[in-house]
Amino acid sequence: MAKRKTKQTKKTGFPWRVLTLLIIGFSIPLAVYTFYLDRLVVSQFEGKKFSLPAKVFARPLELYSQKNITAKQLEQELGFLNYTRANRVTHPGQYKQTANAIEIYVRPFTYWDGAQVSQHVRIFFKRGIVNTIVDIDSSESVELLRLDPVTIGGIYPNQGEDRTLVRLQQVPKTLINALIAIEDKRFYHHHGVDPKAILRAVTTIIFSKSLQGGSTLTQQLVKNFYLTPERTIRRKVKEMIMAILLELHYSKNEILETYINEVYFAQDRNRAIHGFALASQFYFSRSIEHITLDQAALLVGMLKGPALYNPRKHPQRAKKRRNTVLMAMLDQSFIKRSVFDSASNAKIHVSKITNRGQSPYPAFMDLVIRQLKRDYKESDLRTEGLRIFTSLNPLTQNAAETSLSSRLVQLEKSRQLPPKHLQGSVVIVNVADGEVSAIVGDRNTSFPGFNRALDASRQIGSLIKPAIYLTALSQPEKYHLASPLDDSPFTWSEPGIEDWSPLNYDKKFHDEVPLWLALAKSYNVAAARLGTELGVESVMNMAGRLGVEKSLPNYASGLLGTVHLTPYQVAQMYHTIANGGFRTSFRAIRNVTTTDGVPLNRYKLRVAQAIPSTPNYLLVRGLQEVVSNGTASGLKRYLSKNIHAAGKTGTTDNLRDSWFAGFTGNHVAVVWVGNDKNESIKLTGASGALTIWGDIMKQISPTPINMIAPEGIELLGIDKTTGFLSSRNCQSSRALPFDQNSIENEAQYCGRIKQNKIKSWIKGIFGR
Amino acid sequence: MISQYVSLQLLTQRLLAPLLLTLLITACGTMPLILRPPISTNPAVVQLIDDAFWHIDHEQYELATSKLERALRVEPSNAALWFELAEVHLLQNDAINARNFAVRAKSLSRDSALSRDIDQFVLRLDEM
Repeated sequence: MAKRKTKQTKKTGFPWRVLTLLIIGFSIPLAVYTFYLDRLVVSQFEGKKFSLPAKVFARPLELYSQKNITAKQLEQELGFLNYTRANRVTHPGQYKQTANAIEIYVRPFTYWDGAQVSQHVRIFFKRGIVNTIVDIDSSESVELLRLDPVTIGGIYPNQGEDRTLVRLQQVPKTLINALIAIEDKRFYHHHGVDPKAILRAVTTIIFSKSLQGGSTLTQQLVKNFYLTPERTIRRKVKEMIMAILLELHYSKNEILETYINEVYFAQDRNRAIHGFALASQFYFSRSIEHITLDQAALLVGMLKGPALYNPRKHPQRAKKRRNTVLMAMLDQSFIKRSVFDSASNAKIHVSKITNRGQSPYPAFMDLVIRQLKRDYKESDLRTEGLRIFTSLNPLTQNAAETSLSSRLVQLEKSRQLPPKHLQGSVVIVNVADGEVSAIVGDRNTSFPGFNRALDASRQIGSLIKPAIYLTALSQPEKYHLASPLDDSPFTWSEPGIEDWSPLNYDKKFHDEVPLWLALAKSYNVAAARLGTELGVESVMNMAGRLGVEKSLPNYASGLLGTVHLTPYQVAQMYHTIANGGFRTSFRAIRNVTTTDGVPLNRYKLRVAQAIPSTPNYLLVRGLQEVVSNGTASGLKRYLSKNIHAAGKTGTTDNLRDSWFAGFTGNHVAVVWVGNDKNESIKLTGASGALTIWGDIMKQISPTPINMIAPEGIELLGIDKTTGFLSSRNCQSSRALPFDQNSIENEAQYCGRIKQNKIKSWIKGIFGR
Repeated sequence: MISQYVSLQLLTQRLLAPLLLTLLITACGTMPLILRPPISTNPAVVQLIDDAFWHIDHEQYELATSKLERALRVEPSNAALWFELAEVHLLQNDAINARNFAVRAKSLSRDSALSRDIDQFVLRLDEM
């Protein structure tokens, strides 16, 4: 019996051994798993928490007395910067316009050469230029003011996340209170998981069958940071373990700061807006430090459903949600009733979206990225938060885009071409330093597709001619601006190549013409004959010296522009001419800093003399004749003759390409108009590209060409009727510059006009 | 060398005494000193030049160059500014670019004293 009893006890006793084995069997994997999660939590949190996109900025606008900018242009720039117009200017990012002045509260900004604090100034204008700038706080005059630069795009991580990192100290207390009030009221008391909240959530789910979160801020961060969005019990358990682990390792403030930088707010084309700081800029165009209580509550309210409570799309719904957040703050005594009343009655004000995820200037960004890839790894560009300062001038870019798009539509109508038949591109570069200020690569200017400015290699027609004339003018003993050129029928024979007999555009021959006139009127036959006399190779070498890095074929037909170049390459060639014969490699980037403003790279100005000053000076004078008396005389409709603009039209066979390349004192610009299938566009350089060029240039404050005559240049009278050097005692209509070395054998001509007038007057009395 | 090209503001505010002393010593010498006009009278440019000189004094040549480049955006045809760039490049032992900037400065110069100084500068570089 006893035996039996013992047996029974054994049978019914608690299976401690099994339990122990079970616990061990369960605990070891759990411990291993927890250890694995712990390492995961720590390594990700300790390491780089966020991939930061590179931010690309336009040039900062510098303002000073006598700066050539109108109040309207400045207001346009402030629009690009998303400054808000206010009746009373009290915060950075606001401005107010009065009759002759603009008051601006300039935002603080860290540049490559240091940080600049915010400044409250008033800028006075007089006759279309800046007159004075006064600091409102100190009443002192400001010599130089720099506006923060327009953000023109970003180079985003592959998942497209964009954010601006912010320290917890920068975040207003009201925002933190709102966040805690609505999302996790026991945040400072729990250890990552809030049992009360879980119980409340479970009860709600069971009894009201509605979903309730119950997740703490820590859990939300874990979910966003480490986990997938699937909703399973297994994932929930994992989330809770990781939340507890996170709280074991890090302080509440560290967790809160990371949460504030992590949370998702909106999708803006190809970028996702993350973090309160960027959301504040995105919705209110304001830095997070300066948002108001109602704005903070609005952002916090959006966390429940960023799309559902998007204030731009659903302002009423967003307002209701904002007021729920405010009510939670009131209930928890974060705010007083009067503050609640005021904030909950505030209207929903959101700013316009200006800095879209996809850059508004894709063609320029394309150039920037190409230049950056020479020096940086793509992964660094996408994750390290580099700040890239470029030379883009938004005002110039805007003028180029508007002119190209609108003029192409007009040209299609006037030439009875089908809609969208024409395409075009524009490159604009500063003369002095070779900085690229604008690029348009498509008539649909924001389309990030084929970049015609950089990649469309097209026949350039007569744009090559300056290389021919420069080669000639570099031989002063043989050629000068009034040298007679033969424009009678001409055939070029070369073994193995079909004979070549160029024609002029007007299908006529002009016999003997002075060199300057042949250039101004773009006579093909005279240019082709001159080019073959000089040697095709010499001419192509000259194009190379001017900056065409591509090797050009030595075919005679190349003298009339059968060579293919992109608008950007053409701009480089004309830039050297505009820059007095000095070659400067184009730059689109000025400098690069880390995300904290530590300087990394500076792209320096470089200049080297490529062409001697004298022939270059003479060529510029010839190109000015193109505008004043030649194929580009249509520019008079756009520019004052006091600008003395210079340039060259280009047209290709069957009117397939329309080009204009030219310059003023401060800008070189190249415009191309054509068709992607290389069909005729029924436009010459003068009737197409030139009109766009003129329209752009008149909007971007052109300055006159004011080149200094090199030593040994003399001005001589030109015969009114023939265009050749004036004969003795004749009436000269005007003067052209000549290299003294080229006129020593021209003694039969008279009318030398010395630059020194007294000398000329004495000579006038005593004769030569 | 640099002290000869300082702006009017810098002259009056900071360097008047040493300059007068220099003038006095020079006057006692055999060679007459011909001072070039100030680099610029534009206050914005003067401020940037002052900043550039401050950086030069502290051997921060990259910052000095960037300030001079900013000044050039205000006055792109200012030959003296181009010449300053040449001098800063020489301080950085970059003789090639120093020469290039000096030649550019000469092509823009309307001042005979400046042109003479540039010629001497280029000559010295060629002899180096």
